[in-house]
Amino acid sequence: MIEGKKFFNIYKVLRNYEGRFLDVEIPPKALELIKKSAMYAPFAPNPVQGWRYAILSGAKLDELGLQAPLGMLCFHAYSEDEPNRLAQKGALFAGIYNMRLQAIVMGIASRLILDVDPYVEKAYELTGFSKDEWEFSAIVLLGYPMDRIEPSKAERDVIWRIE
Amino acid sequence: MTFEEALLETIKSRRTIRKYLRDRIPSREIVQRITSIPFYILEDFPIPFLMIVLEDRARDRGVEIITKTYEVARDLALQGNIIPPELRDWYIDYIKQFVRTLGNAPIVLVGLTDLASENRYRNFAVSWMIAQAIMVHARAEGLDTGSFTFTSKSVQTEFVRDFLKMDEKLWQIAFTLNLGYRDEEPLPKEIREDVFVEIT
Repeated sequence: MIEGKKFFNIYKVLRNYEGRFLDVEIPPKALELIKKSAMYAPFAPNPVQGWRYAILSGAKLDELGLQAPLGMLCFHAYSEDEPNRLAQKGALFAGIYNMRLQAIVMGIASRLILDVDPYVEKAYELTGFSKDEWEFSAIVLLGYPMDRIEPSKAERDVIWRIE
Repeated sequence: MTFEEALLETIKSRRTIRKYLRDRIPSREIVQRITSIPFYILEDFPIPFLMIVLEDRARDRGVEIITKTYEVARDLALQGNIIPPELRDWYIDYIKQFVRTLGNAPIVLVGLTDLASENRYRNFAVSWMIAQAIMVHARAEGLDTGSFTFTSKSVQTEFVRDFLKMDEKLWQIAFTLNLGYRDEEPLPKEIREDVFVEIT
């Protein structure tokens, strides 16, 4: 287990990295930890673990016009029932958060792309997933950063305490 | 154990807890750290977001409203699909008890965002990264969490408009989390490993 107080500073460098990545592969052990961390997100019940991650690199990632040592196309189970659709989406993004957190403690930066419209058709073509079953929701690019990551100094008044 | 392995263990040990020690109150310092985590996520993913911390009498008043709805029970009943058949009767009692008290958690955290506009999916996605960040960090602080759902319009109105005194047309509930110290050991959880596919 990590210790909360000491660990806290890691959140300041868990930034959405917009810089270039070094041309260095992510070691298999590091990738294994990143994948495992995603699997241990809370999941929505119907279906259980209703998410899929397609891992791309090299030429396949180039086809999307993206440059990084590794990319993950992130899908959740499609549902016409709006509450279930949101539940699946929430669970997927909980897993994405875990991945990005696990990556940064190993010095691996991540860029999370939420606006996936430009990549939708290619994502389904590359994965062969059905749009009726899987909703394409995000792309995570992973790699060692070429540029320095600026720690966050953000503070926003988002907390209300009612007693 | 390396630092990254310790983090994975922390992530794995985060489990949904439905029963809390009512009288063991997390320290203000720890709650302050946990509730400041949204700042860092919102800096890179700005969305309309507010988090409400309900403690003491406010927690009790909030829980009174939330437990009026059967939706908390319905959500948990759905999760019962993954409970082994021999534990179903136990699980029904477990739900009933939870629904009456929301597990006695001393603190309830409510994340609000805009789920009415065209940005609702983005807002919900970012809200849930925040929720997960809170849950993982709470675990690192020795605390436990558990999310529960209530989405009926009438209860949202009563909760958001009448109780929180906010515009219910602008703010909707993205997540609700119990926070406290556990008073149960969760059942073992099976994890599928075939959720990753390599595209070569």
